[in-house]
Amino acid sequence: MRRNLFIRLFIVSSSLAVLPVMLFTIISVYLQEKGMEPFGLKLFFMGFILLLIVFSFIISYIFASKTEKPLKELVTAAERFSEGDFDYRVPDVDIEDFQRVNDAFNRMAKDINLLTKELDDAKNYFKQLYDSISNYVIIVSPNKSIVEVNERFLIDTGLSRDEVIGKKCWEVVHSYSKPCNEMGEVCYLEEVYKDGIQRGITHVHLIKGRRHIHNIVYTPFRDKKGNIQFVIEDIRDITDVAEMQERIKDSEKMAAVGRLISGLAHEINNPLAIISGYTQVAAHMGFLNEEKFRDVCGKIEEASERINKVMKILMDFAGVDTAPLHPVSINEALKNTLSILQKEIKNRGVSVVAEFDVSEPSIMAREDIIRAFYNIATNAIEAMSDTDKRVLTVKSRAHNDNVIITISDTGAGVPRELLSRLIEPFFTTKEFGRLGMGLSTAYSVIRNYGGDIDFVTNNGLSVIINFKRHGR
Amino acid sequence: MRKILVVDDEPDVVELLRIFLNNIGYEADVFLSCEESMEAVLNNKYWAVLCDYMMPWATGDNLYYRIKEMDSELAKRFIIITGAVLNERLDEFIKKEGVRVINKPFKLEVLRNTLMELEKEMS
Repeated sequence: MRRNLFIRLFIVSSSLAVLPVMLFTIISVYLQEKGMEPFGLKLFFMGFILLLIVFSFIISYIFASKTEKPLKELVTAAERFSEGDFDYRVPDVDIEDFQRVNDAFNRMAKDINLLTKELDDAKNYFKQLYDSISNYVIIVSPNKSIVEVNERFLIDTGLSRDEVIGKKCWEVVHSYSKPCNEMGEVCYLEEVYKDGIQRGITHVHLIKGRRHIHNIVYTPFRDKKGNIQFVIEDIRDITDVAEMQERIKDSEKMAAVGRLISGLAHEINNPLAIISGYTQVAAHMGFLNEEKFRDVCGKIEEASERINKVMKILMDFAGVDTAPLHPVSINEALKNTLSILQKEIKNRGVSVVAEFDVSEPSIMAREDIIRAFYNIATNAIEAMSDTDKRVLTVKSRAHNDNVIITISDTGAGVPRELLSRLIEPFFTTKEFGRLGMGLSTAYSVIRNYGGDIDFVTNNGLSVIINFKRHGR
Repeated sequence: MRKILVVDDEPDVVELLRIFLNNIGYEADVFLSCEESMEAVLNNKYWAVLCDYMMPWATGDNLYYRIKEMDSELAKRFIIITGAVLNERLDEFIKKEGVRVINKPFKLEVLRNTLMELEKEMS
């Protein structure tokens, strides 16, 4: 049975207080009658005090012994609670006041327990969510330490948590020994901390010696006041995608080779048919006379030359020059082009206007730049086969930091809507059976050396080539 | 003597085909373009056609379809003679119409055998 400590204390102490007062009154009345009043009064007064001291000792002892146990229980509960044992409850005691405190404590413990469970659930929910993301999510603090990463990052990189958490981001994702900006690179993290603007970039990371192409979105993580606490890096590994793009490019290259073979086969098989045909005639039928024989030999020679020409085009197409870039004189290259074409120019009755810049401009390139000029000039000469006026104009001009080369003809020109298609492989305005590779090859050579090509048609075609001038 | 229509834009090739055909007992009418040959088809009775595929302005299949319209029997003895490879349009045409193909460079033997097959089919 529970007893109310305070009521009992009250009853005991009041009865204890009443008792000596009554005793004192009776004794003092009695002593007064006997005439021994002063001594007796003192004696009883002292006795009363003594009694009070004794009783208060007794009461204190009882009080202490009754309260010690429940207090200890409460202290234990508080300690267990602070250690995180939210399931611990204070046991019932037989003192109502303490029991009330205990009940309040237990209720609080229960509520906190519930809240903690909810918090745990939420934590688990977010952790699973975080770890289920197939992208890598890295949370980085303002001092560039990694605060958190998701499982996916650890699984894919093979790094342990200890190798990542608390480490600097530049150590982990770049394998650098100092921050990116000290390595001469931009630190996007810093930028986000500076302006708070989300940004995305594609970037090469080196993790555990493996090269990754990462698509990263940096998002600021703000507290309620709006201050940026962390930056969240959402990283998508696009290494495979990038490699696939490379492979597609390769297969496109293969398709181009296929088109090249298809385009060239006709130009090889026709002359081969002539060579093979006449040798069969020679072997099985013979010729009427020596003149006919010589004539046929000429045809075979001509057909061989055609195949040889195709071979040269193939060589040009496959032409991989590994020599380092060096200054190449534009005037020299143009003069060489004209000298190679001299025979062609003479045979076709073409007159040449050449205007070369006296400052002798040069560009950073290789000797094969002549292929571009050769193809463009050949094109120009052939474009004039049906016209009366046949003038090939070749100019070089230094302009500020650039060198501008113009190769023009006086042919029929090209319809404006076809100008943009001129550099397409196998595009040709000439009769069927032509390769249509000339300008396309020229364009790729020019692009290779950082140049640009432009077409203007106005009574003939002008090809304008622009290069950055060397040494400026 | 059976008369064969020969069309190719290469003068040397048509000349060679004429020599070959004469050698194996055929008469050859040679032309350098489809246009020229069309008129000849209207005015002559040919037994077979030897036609290049890639020619300026028109491809061999154009001539084939026009001949098929006028003389379906002659279309059955239409032979494409070509140096083209990996040409999707040509491959499709051959598959669809089932025409015979002789590849360049061609052998006298192959030409003779192909024509002999046609002779057998007729009889």
